[in-house]
Amino acid sequence: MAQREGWEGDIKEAMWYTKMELKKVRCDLCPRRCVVDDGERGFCGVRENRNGIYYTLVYSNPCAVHVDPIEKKPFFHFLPATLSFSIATAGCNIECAYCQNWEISQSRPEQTKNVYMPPKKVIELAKRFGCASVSFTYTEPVVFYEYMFDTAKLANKSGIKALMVTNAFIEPKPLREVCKVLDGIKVDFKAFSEEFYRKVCRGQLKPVLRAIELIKESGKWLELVVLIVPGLNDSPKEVKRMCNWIKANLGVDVPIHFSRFIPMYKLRNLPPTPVETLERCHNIAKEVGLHYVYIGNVFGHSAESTYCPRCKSTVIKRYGYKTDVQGLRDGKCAKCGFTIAGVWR
Amino acid sequence: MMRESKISRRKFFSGILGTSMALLCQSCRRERVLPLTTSSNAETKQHTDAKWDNKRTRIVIVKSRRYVATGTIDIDEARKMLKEGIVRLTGSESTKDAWKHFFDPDEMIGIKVNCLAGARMSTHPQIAYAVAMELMGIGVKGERILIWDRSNTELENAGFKVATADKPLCFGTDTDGIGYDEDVYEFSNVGSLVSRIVTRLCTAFVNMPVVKDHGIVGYTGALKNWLGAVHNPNKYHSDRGDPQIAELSAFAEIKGKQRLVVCDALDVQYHGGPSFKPQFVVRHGAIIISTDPVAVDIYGWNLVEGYRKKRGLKSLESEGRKPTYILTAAKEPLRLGCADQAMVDVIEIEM
Repeated sequence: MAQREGWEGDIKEAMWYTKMELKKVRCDLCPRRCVVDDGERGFCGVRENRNGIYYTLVYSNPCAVHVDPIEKKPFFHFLPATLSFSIATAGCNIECAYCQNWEISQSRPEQTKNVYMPPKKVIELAKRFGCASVSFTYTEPVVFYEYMFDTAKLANKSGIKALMVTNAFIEPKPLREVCKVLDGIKVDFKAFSEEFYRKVCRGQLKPVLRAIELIKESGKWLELVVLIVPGLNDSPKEVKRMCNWIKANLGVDVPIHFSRFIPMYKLRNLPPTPVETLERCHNIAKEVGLHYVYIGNVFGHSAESTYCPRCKSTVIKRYGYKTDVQGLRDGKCAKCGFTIAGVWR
Repeated sequence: MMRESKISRRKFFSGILGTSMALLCQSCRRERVLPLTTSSNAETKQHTDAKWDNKRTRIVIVKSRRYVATGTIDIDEARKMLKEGIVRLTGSESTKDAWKHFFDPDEMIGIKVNCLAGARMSTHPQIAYAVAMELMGIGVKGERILIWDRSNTELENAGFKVATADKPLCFGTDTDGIGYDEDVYEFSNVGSLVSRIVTRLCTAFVNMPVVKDHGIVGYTGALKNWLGAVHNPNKYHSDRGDPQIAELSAFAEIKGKQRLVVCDALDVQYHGGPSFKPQFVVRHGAIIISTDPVAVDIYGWNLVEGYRKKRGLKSLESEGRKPTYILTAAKEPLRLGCADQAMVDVIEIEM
């Protein structure tokens, strides 16, 4: 039995790992496949090898708990205008140079202020605050997999939806398992080049593409967000290749959000993304034929709203986190009856 | 005009005692000066692919036969070893002069120990406290000496007594009111927060690592000991730590303040590290003293390789764990020390 430190939640053995010689373990959760010596932690900083057993240190141990509009995740085609009970623990399995939540994602759990909140408590609070869903978000839910998994299972039983906001840097087996208990997944799609993933995010593109395909195959609701960083992932060619890949592998109904970069963490030397750049990305995606293309982090922009792909009328009008769904009726365009892809009830 | 000299009774006797001890030590020690390539681990592969100016560098190895025989050491013996070593390192006439060569009495001196592996394979507290007492011997006040590592728990597990008021001080970065600096520093592509002990509290450091095999980066010694100064050491193991471990040691607040390395090689773990694995630990009985962290690490690496060879284990390189970050540390643009063993004078003292 592992000794519990004061800052820890419930000490729980990790779900996806292999024991090796000399009390080493190999983490099988994400493509990094860290080999972790006794007494050490994986890259994520929240899983520790104690005497040859791999433990998660963040179970029931969130460092961020908020009640958010679901549009903040952003999910635009999933129960719009509802609240989502949103939680995160410390840690991440990649390191984006522009991470907007780096103070918690790049920290270890002993360095964040945590509250003890077991899955049952999460569901209780979600209900008390009138939330239609629970979101695992802000940092990287893959690294608090066990906590997410158990909470999502409870949510399923309680009639509350479970959502994951992820970088999709996860191995196929654990992804398939967690998809069974999730209702929707939003993927932060960093770029469409291995070089960007490697140099800017310390990650890899190929496993992410495979994971996105698996999510689509699972039938769970999927949305994509691409944070456009000036000069790094904003070339029209790259954006076009990405959109073509989405169309070919995921279909035209998967919403894609092009979000504005704000200087943060290690990338403070770049300016915020010009709105024109985001509009260019938006136009490329529309030209490729994607149905639902949005611009994010630019409050009041017309591309925050959802338009009917057929008659072009406004189906869901948004201004920041203010949402008006009067143009949507039973999941269809109120004007022409076109079915709008999404989870609406 | 004659200058009046005053000496207290206590100083007088301590002087006599000190002289006697020095004579005693002269009579019982054996000293050799030799290049690294002819040391006891000469059969192991030498690493000479990095160059370091034309200046020679020096490391002093003080070996305790008693430790090898008994596995125990006390502060007095540790102090004797330190005194012998520091004098030979500096060429000073007295131990005080030798310590003063590196430290001023009004400095805030951090002694960075390594406590990751618990009581059996961490920096011996006796040696760390001996360093502290030597520093107090040149007039550094106890409250200006801090024995430290990442956390209080790790310090206590390694046998240190956490002390925020006693002298010398002893506490971890996780102590209330300390923590990490708010600025993000980049080492290679790893973003880290650095302990305020490094950036704000201390003006000088004695780096006190241990000599251990490391399952991912190959070897952990002086350079890697600074991972205990950042908030996310788990991010440093990619690519066997190369170059990020070397770059961390080149951080101005570390490079500029690290005056001395006193490496605890009383025990050497040649396999299965970094956690303590008793079956792979040998009583080596030495402390290694130098101003050059690279030379110390090359020496320690060779020790590990030597013991591995004796026990029939593959070299670190054969296992895909060659600690190339040490060589990177020696090269342009970092130039943290000397990896060219032909340029290193190794002075061995046996007590």
